[in-house]
Amino acid sequence: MNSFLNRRNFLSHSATGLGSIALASLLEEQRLLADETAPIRPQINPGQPFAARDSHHAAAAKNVLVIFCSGACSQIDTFDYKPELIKQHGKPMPGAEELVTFQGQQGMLTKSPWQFKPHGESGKMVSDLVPQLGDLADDMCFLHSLTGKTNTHGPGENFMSTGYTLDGFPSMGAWTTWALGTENENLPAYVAVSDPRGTPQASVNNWGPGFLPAAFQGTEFNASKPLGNLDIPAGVSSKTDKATRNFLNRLNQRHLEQFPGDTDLAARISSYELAAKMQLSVPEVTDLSREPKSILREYGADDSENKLKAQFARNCILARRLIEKGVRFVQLFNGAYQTGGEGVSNWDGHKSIEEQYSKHGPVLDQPCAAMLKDMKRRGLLKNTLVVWMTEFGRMPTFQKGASGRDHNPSGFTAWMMGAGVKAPFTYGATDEFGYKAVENVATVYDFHATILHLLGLNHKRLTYYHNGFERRLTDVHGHVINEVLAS
Amino acid sequence: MNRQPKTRFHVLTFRCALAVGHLSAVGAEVQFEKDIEPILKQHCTGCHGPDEPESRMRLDRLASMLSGGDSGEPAIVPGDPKASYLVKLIRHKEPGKEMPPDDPLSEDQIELIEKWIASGAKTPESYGPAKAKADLSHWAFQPIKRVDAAGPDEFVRRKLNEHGLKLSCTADRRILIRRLYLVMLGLPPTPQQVDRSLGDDRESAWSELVEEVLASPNYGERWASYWLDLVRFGETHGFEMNRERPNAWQYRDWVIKSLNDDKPYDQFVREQIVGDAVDAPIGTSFLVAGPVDNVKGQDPLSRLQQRMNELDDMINTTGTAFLGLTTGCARCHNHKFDPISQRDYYAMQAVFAGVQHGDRTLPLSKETKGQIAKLDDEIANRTALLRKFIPRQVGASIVLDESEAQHSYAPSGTAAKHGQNQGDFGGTHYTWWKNEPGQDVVTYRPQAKGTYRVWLSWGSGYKTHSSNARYVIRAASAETSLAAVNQQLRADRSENDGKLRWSGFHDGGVHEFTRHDSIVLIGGSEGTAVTADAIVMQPVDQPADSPAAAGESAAVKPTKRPAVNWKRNVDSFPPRSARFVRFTIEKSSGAEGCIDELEVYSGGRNIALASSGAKATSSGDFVHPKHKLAHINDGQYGNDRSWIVSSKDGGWVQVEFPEPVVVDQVVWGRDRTERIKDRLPVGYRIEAATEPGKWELLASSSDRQPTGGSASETYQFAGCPSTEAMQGREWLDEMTRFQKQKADLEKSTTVYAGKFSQPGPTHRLYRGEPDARREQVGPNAIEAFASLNLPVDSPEQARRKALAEWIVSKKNPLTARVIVNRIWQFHFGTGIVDTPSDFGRNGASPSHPELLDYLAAELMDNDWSLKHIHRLILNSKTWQQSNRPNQEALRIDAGSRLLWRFPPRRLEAEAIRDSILAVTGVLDLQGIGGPGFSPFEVEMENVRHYHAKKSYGPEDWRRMIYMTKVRQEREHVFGAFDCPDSSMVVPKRSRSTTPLQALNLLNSNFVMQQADMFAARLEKEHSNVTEQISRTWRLCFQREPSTTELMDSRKFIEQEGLRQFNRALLNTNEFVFIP
Repeated sequence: MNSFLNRRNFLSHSATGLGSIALASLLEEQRLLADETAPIRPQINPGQPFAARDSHHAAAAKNVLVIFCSGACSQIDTFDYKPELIKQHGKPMPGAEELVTFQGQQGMLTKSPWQFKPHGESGKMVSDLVPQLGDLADDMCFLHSLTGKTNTHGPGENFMSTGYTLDGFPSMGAWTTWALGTENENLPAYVAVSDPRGTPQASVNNWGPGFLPAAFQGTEFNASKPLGNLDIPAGVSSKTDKATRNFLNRLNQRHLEQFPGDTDLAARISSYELAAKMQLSVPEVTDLSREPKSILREYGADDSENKLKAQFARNCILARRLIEKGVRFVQLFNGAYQTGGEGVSNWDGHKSIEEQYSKHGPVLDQPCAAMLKDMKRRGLLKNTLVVWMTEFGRMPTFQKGASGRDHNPSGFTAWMMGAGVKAPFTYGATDEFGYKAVENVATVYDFHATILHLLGLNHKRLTYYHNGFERRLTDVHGHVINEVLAS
Repeated sequence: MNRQPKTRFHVLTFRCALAVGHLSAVGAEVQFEKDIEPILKQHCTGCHGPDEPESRMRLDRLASMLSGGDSGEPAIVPGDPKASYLVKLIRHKEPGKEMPPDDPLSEDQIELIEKWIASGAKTPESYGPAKAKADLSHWAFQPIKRVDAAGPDEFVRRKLNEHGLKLSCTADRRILIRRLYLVMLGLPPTPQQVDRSLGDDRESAWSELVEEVLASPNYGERWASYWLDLVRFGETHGFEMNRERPNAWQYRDWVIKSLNDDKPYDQFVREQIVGDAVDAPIGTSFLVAGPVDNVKGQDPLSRLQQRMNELDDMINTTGTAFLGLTTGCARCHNHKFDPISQRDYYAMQAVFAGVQHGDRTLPLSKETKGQIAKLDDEIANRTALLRKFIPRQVGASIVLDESEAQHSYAPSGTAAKHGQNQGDFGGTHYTWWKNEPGQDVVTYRPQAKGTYRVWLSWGSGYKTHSSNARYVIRAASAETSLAAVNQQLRADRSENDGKLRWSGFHDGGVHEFTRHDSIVLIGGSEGTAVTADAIVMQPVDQPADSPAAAGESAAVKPTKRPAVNWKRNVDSFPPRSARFVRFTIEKSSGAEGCIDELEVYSGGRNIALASSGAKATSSGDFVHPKHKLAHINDGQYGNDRSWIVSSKDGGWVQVEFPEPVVVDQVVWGRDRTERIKDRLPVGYRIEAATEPGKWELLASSSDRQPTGGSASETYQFAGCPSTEAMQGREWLDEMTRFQKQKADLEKSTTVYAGKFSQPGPTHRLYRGEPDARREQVGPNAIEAFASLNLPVDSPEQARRKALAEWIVSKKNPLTARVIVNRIWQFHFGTGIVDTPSDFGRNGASPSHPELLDYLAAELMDNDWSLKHIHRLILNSKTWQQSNRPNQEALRIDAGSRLLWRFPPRRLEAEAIRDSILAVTGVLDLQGIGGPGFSPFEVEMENVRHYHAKKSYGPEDWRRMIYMTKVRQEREHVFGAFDCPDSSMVVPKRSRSTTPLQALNLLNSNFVMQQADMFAARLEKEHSNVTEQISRTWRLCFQREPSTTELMDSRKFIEQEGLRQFNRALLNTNEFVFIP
């Protein structure tokens, strides 16, 4: 019955799904009903736009936590172990002399300054840059063969977060919350936890709603930066505030009496009730003062030597709490826009990768690993899909005249963890040096299709009509990578 | 071109045949029916036949084989098997598309097909013509049918009848007035406007009110925002860096003005595509209004991809905004639904291929030219008035200060002069002597030769001063009287005010001087004191005895010349013969003085150049590789080609000419390339001699303003009567203001309107990939509709012009339909076609097709006047009906799509913000046009960051249309109300309702500040609470409060105050919904 309603609803191009049904010819309707690829529109009640909604098929994961490393974190120095690269260290890469990557010409093949060691029972080789994350290798599902479409940062982040290199397309989180709503309506359905150093390189595009209704934009706040306009205005007591909202409600109710059955007016009234609930629940979830000391220590939030790490650790605790409270989609950023020089505030290691990553590694490693262990302990990984991703990969060579690596979208790594994914597991591989994906080559579209699939969504039927196109997260591409799904 | 591959193919086939050892049909003529058709029938046409062909590729139709299926790749290129996609597929050269999928053809079969293609790919007539006629039966591609009707109501009523519905009753006039202002102007009417309209009971009252609203400049400000959404207008570049685009705002103003002027829509469109050709250059901002990625890597392929994206943005926006066609699909493959081939897409790309993002300096518009002409008149007028304050361009005068003159006996003292200013000569003091009647007191020795007017000055004031002191010129053989002066008075014989003052100049007449002549001050017969001050010898062009020189009119009192500057200084003097010219540095601005070039002119020719035989010598040179004596007359400027004197105390440099020459001007500078300012000679003397050692003074710094003063000013008011000076200063202020206005007007002509240049060839790109070039494509429109008949290498502008003319042609079935549908949508919330930017087969069908055609025809028949369409709609019963729900009708048509009522909807972000400002009384309606105001504090990182403003002031009280449109970022209060972030074209905004909107409108600084100001307004206007409440209702809702509302409000205000009352009111549904 439900799917029938969904199918009928594709006939309308509006989110509320009324309207043109009356006008559609019976013939057209029948033709489209028979179509297994027809769009499935979410049934959105204007009064409760974030109410939880059915998925297309049984979902393995309810929530998503994305850990996004801004600046393009090198696969060569973290998770993609290449013994041949170590052997050929200092030699030219065959064919590299003709390559012109983002910043220019290539120097010699260069092994990672960090040692790789086997981790867990699976013996997965992970570098010493992220040893604590390495210790979770048995819970991880690695994809080593991702391929991108751009080698510049902004478009790279857009591509990973929205499926398009251009600005203005809905983010994965917007698609997800538009389709599924959220389990906890007193909190934003979709939260972007930005890095303590600032917003990522493609900024709010990473959590933008694109052409989807603005309601599905990610709400940005973090442990040190509160949500705007949440507090009662300065100088207004909570008693006065309540009296004012009651007065407003009376005015609106009297007005509504003249429009019985008009949902838009009623929806606006209930949005004020929802706002009031949010005013209570958002401060509650961001208040880390009741977290036990042991948790702060485990995450590194009490690290007085490394302030940045401590701040990021607090964001990690916040991310865990948001997931715990049922927020549908959380995007946790590690790394911000470029400031203070190349690669200082993010993973963009062009000049001297050893020096730059020596600072970034510890900030990411302990807090992030602690968060994942904590989530596992609390049973959150049963319903939550964790996805680690970055913009694109980096070259196995150093840049000519530098001690760092240039951009490389030809083969890079992401990993998944938690609900619905096979672990320990490794899918796909790059060539002997880690330059190009050669085995089970996967596109970012495949990656997105797989994430949606785990959420119970068919990436081909989750579409939104905009400006003449049925748009989807995966454009006109993408296949679910069945190999990574837990049976 | 086809010959070569054909030959190669033959050789290849031959070798293969030998190797395989088969004869097959090689050598013999391939016959389609016998050799090819059976293969196609057996292996291909099952899927690629008449019945829903896979990839829309038919191998039983010649046209389909030639034009290709979805991929856009021609399956067959006659004569060129290598270029034929079919061959690639059957030879399994296209991974994932191996054909036939499960049963590969044999080598023989493939060779046969190749041979058939190589020999021209002939097919029988049953395979149809080479070019299929496009299917244009879709409603939107059909010509517009004119229907006679009295107005839109007929069509709406007919449709309602079909569904058993009818129009609702006409809404209350008060509601209609509010609706009219909100829909058309985006602002609520003022209580006065409502009262005036309600009081007008003439039959024409409504239509006249409609006219009034259409004539309001606020109309363009409201409706421009729809257009700007549609064309993704933004004032930053977007992408990673998101830098400012400071010259983009002109386009916004241009759109507003175009709408207010009711510019015919065809012209509006034309100007946006090719405004540079029709005196509307700002219009082409449309082409580049979208985002552009300014982070360009080294990788050439990725740069090419970025360029393709830029062009795609132009093609797409043009296609969807004007034509309602989704041309973008055809970038990678033939359009799945509409008759747009991949070739068409690249033909459109060729139209825009010469357009680049960037600022363009525009020729001035007629209007601006007019404004500038007016300013020019004003400037000319002030210039004329101010002329008398310009110090006469005189040559260098010789200033003889009494302190350096030779005196006959010791002075009795010096006296300070009152009211001295920098324009005066003679310093701040004069000297005085005991008067010895008939005795020489002071002897001035000018050592000058030529014709000079002599100006005398002294210290005036006390009654003790001689009333008849005398000045004479004493030559070797004779004495010429200059003047007898009363030293108690000033030079103009005015009485002094009892204070010691400089006399000003007394004209001693024009005289010839030789080198040894002196000027002598002789004691008078009266008085006990004689005073002495500066004498100035002003060079005169004419001989001393000429009437012009002697005449009073020629006498212009000496003023000081501009101070020396480090770029270029000119010293002119009466012509004289010289073999040596010497420049003596007496003082520099710091360290050893420097000169980059010393030029000596003789009738306009520099004769000091070493290359002309002049020889330079000096008192001593500073030793440095950059600074050399030879540089002083090498004809080259700049610090690197300069000379520096050896001593900090000064010194000289001179040039010697091969023979005596008449000289009249010296030009010199410190650094004529305007880079280095130090070491400037500020005190100097220029002398000439015909024989060594016999120096005659030509010019010096003594008649220049001191450096650092207001020396370089063109106008000098000092020395004028104070009222005159005041008037002069006023004129100068006015002129400065006019000049600034003029400069601003001229500056505003740099606009982000794109740059144009002749493009190279455009190619079709397989799958849209920039490195998969296929055949060259010339500029054209969509072939199924029209051909622009342009040669491949057409001039850039001609391409856009031809496309624009095709779009606005009255024969184009789409353009008029698309725009009237948009207007309808913005009136009723939904268009007649619910997919406003897709009129193609995949778009929605019109709810009222005849109405759409009626409006489209009306538009074209009325000179494409958009206001005409507004009139038709606003005067209709459909628009004027009530918006109240009706349960029965709701059951049949919940979305009010058939218009049984005026569909209710929330106002857009802009209208909510503007309405708040309007009712609180701070809205600035004068701030029309010009650069916008920013809602952000910008962090000027390489990658820009935009933070919400924390406080707001009057600069923020302009309408939101003037808020600088930053891509990606939404304004922090109103952005949540579905404001597009201008990364994308938006033909129809989403309308969401969220708790964040509620939080923003309840708690933001912005709204709280407005609530405060609203309260202040009410308190100022009314002292009585009931009146304040009533006033609030009339301002916000255009009605009186009900008794319940009044009582509830009174009670609330008593407890919580006006501010909270206003805060609540600004949040009500009634305030933010169109009634």
